[in-house]
Amino acid sequence: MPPAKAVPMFSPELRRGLGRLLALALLLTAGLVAAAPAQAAANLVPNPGLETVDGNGFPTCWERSGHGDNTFTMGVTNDARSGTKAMRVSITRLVSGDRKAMMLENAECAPRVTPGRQYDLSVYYKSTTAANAVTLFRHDTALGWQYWMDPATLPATSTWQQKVVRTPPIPANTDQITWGVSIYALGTLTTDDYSMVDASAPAPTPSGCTDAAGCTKGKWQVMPYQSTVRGIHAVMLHNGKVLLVAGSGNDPNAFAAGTFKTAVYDPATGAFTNVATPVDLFCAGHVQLRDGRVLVMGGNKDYPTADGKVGYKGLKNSYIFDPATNKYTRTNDMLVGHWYPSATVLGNGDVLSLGGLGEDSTGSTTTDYFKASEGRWLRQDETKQTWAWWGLYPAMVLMQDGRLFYTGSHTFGVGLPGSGASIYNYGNGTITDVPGLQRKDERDQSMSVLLPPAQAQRVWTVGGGNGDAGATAHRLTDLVDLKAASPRYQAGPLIPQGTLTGGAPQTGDQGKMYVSLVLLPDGTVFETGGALHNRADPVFEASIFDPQTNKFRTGMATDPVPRTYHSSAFLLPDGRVMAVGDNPGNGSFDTRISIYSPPYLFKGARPAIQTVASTNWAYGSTQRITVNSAVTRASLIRPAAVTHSSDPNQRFVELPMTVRNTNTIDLNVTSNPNLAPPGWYMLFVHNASGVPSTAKWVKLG
Amino acid sequence: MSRWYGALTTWLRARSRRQRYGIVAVAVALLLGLGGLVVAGGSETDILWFDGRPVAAPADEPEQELGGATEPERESGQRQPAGAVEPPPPYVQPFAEQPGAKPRAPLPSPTAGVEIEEGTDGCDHAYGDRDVCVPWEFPAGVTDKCGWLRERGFGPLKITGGRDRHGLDRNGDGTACGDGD
Repeated sequence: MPPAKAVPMFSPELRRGLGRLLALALLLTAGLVAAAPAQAAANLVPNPGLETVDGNGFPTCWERSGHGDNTFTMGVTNDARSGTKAMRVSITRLVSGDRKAMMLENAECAPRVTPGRQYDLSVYYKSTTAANAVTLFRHDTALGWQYWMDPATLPATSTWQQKVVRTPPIPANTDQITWGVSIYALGTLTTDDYSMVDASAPAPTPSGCTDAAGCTKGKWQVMPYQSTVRGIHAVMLHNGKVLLVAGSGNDPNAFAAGTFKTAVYDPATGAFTNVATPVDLFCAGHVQLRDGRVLVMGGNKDYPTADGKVGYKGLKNSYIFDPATNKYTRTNDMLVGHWYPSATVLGNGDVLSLGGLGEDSTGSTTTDYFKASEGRWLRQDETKQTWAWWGLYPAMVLMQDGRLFYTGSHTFGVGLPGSGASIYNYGNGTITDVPGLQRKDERDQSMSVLLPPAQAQRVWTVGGGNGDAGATAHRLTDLVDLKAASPRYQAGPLIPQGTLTGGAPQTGDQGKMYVSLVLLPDGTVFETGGALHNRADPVFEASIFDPQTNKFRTGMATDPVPRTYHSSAFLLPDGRVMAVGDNPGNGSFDTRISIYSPPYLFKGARPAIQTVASTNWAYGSTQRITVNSAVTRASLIRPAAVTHSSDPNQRFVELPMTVRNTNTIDLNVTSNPNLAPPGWYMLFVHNASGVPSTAKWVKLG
Repeated sequence: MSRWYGALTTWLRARSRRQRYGIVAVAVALLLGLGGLVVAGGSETDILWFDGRPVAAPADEPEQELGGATEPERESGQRQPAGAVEPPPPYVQPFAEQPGAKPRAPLPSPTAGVEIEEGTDGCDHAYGDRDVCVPWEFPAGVTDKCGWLRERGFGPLKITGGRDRHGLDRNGDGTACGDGD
């Protein structure tokens, strides 16, 4: 057998081939290494791994922070995720407050930021309690360091977990932020390996306006049909339809005939469905309950006598309207009658109702409390009374700690006690004035809103007049920051002026009452409608207010239909604004419907929410959605329940995002029900151009 | 290309089965490593780096905390998944505590509601039907009240309340702002 041909270990060909393979592998590796830095922006957190400590053994650029009555330890542990050090905070006794390690608020340590950009905050942690939250502060170049928000809640975990959350766009006038992780229950929290990177996508290519006028001013459309009822009360239902309640519709003849009306309007089809209306729900209060049904309370027991001896009388009836059946079901009665009552849903889903006129036409000083879990109004001996007189449709905004802020906005009346605004603590029955509201006795049919986002706890009160005195409506607006230790209204920008009937421009101090404020899904506020005098002289003016800058964008398109007394405007789930009603002093009523398309609807393709993993959301959870294109912000907007320029439950709740990739996003839901009371909400996202999606409906709590 | 490929094939055939398995194992390991690097490069929005250190950090060694308990857990290196979790308590901030502010004095239980003066809705309902709103007080500077009303769509108004506060029925025929007024 001939010997086998010897095969050299490395022939020239083999050496050449292996060399080529090696060169290719080196090139690939070099390319990947070179490409990596382009993806990984710099970590903006100094001493992110807590490895560098000062003379006291505490990490440099970090500080002990927190508040309240508690006992705690805070310091470095060697139970680190990487390196040799991590931060450990333990609370061993807690009456109130929290503890957290925060980045130092100084020029060297606090990460620098650029307004408008967004940053991904990342931290590794483990905790024995579910009561952990990322807490964010910002440095306002004018106001100094400010609490910003708690963008994420961190569940308990015994193993290292990473939490990433993206800041909302950095507000104007902000040059630095600090953040940390708070623990606010008994337990131990360990954190390590912080990072913060600029996550802003490149500025979008301007898509160009699809309509030059629409792009700058928006556009109104007056529908080719009219409402079948006088839309004095409007409630956005979670099935996308609108409940329009007239009752007798401020028509004494209808009242005498027992003709009371309600209709459900479908904006998608223009169809109206009549609803049997049990009593005169004209002048009632209303708010959505946790399950989306609508609680209606009070109403009109009788009109005033012509000789003036007896005024309007309030019903103490109450009903629940069910959108599934389009029927009212009576509850037990309230303690007293309420004509023009407030209705504020609380963090536990219960409802407080205050003010209005009673069955004998005197002012109601009785607090009525609806216990949602039992579906009934509480008895006298179950409620806490202050016997305070709150006036008519007092705007009572739920604060983040469960107290109510009376904004000073109301309907009718004059000479209420105090400074015109106050904080009401139902739990202990105290009322404490909040100063600073300008012309407190000329806030008849002004409007107040909790500005976006609800986490900012800022309220804006706009315009108003005084029907008793026949005052000319003014241009004043007032802003109050309820985060302040001692909140105080500060003067805001003047309402832009428009034109009166016939086109005459407003002059001097002329402003408006009956104004409508609508929170838009891009985080701004649409201001529209109104009149110069009591049930007379409509003002044609609309603007958009930016709560980031506290400035108006003036010159928005104006509703061709006068919108004065008994008018309302509110957000539809498709991002448009619907306006109804007008009831001037001559007794006529305009039943036309106008719908406004804001400028953002003329600025290119809209992002779309493609899927929502769950429509039942828990507080403090993260909720996954998918979208079809890049978005910068997500929010929950509570659907309207508005009448007489009063919708104190209207709110825009920020949903900080954890961005998995362009299309998959986890939304961080607040743990605090007072920031977003339970119920159905419209979920929106918008892109870097401020163009919003249409809403998906989700049920919170 | 074909020559060095052929040489590589010939060279591999000359290796024992054991050697071939070893070579394949090394090649697979290299490919997997390269693939992992590509995947770990991730999408542009993923955060997969940290302070120059790899995400897959060394295992966390259980150590005694300074005065604390031993935690033998090892890191998962994972982000929290979306979905339902144990509900946390509400996180409430200590805002608007109004230090030094004095609450209003408590009020006694009233024996009756608050008296409301006529005209609180800004209307004098003594004129016309009760859905008509002749101002309780006309705006400042209005001298021709009937003219002001006519400009705003009011017709003649029957005086229904037995009084004429504004003097709109000059001829006393029971109709305000009618002919002759």
